[in-house]
Amino acid sequence: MAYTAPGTAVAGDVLTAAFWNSNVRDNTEYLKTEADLIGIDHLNSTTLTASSSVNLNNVFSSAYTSYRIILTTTSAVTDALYNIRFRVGGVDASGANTYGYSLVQSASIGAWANLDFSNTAATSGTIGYKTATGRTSTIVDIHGPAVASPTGYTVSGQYSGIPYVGGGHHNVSTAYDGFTITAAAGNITGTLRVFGYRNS
Amino acid sequence: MSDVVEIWADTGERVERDFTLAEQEQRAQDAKDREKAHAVEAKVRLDAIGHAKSLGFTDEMIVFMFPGLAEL
Repeated sequence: MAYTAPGTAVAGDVLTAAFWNSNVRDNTEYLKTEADLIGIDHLNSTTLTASSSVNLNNVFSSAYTSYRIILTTTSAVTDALYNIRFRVGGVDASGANTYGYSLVQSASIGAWANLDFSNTAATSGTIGYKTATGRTSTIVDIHGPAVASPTGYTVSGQYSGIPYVGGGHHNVSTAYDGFTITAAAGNITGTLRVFGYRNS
Repeated sequence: MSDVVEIWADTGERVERDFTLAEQEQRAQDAKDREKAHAVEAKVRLDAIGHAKSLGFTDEMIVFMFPGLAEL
């Protein structure tokens, strides 16, 4: 069913079945069909200005299984890693030996080097890197944070033109409602956006 | 400009505040843990380079063949 540019009614017009069916029924059905095809919903956007840490509560729920976080920075005081902790009820999960991750970065032609690694020995997970000299971006896909089972995540990003990829997991079987992202040193100025992938 | 930005996505509430004492202690502990982890990682790399050299690899060969390993 095609979309029809809505007509404009003026005072004194008599509503006809044809006008209603075209402008209201058909267009509404068309828009619903298009809306149902959207696979991802925007959940939150937050601007950060020289903040060391951002806590986002009540963003994970049973409505979605997987989420995408996009963190872009326009400036940062210090070169440093970004770390994530999952949280519930306003409390970070920071238990010993609960996060494992491995991120590799482009080192030279055809070669990748370690950016950060932990074999489930950490109290937070690394999700990226920021530099003081340029714009950076980190994309994190998180799978099942609101389910009471271990949570996995995958990462891709870049800093100063150097790309990196990786992933990690949090091995505690708790359903979380949010997360904290912290700069290991210095602070963050930029934007954090969170999206939910529709399950169907 | 604040240490922590705390947001409730369901209500839109946003609070900017300084670190709590507990958060400051956690950050200090995080820095110590990271330093320790990087020291372990550095030792693993140095051991790997040492092993490669014991097999006859030169510094130039290691840089060429294992650039990630040589980035110490």
